[in-house]
Amino acid sequence: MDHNEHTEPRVYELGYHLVPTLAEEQIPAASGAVRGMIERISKDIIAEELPVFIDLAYQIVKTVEHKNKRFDDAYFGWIKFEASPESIAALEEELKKDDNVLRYLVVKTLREETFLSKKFPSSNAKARETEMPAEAVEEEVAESAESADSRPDAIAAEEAPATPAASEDALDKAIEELVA
Amino acid sequence: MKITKQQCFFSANNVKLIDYKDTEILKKYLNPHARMIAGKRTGICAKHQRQLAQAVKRARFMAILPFVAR
Repeated sequence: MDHNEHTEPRVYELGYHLVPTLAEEQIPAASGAVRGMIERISKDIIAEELPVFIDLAYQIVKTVEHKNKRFDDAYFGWIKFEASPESIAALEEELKKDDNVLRYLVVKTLREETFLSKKFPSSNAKARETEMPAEAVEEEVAESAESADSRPDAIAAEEAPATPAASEDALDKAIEELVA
Repeated sequence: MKITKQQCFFSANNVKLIDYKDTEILKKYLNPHARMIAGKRTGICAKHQRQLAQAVKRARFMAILPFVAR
């Protein structure tokens, strides 16, 4: 990767997995080591989430001392920070050497929060699903009205206020479900 | 099957960047085999479909989402 084409500081995010062989008490130290690497290259740490134990979606193989070790779970954490592009190469070098880091990923991101599910819980999907059939029916009605009647505007106007109300109802239901 | 017209979910929620850690959202756009669903079917605008694809691939690398699921 060429890190030289852009020289202005940018916002990056480092996501990393720590090996599951570490005990719960050793996690702050291990994540502190990763944080230390970032503090060396960056003045500004924007956000951070400490590693949490997760099941991996597939087995990750890491070679430690010429032996393949297989991992089915890991501690996943991330840090968002601002740094210059050149320093990222140095950070990656360090991360590669760290035996506690199972896998890592550095991505360019934005300063503001990009996590969506906190803002919009999964009820959003349900609300949309309940909304969709209503819309489809409405379209059909409008179409048939158009072919049969020469003035579809009147019917469309009648139908129009029904949609927001229906979607609002669906949303209310979804919220109630969440609260209950 | 007629594809009903709807606005892109991410545009509707004014999303600037799709986060690869956001599995709740990403999973909605995967089929049971964990393959990505085509833009034509998801109804997402091209810009966000590209971002979504990127996010899914990142999540797969980080073993947050599977490459294949049976």
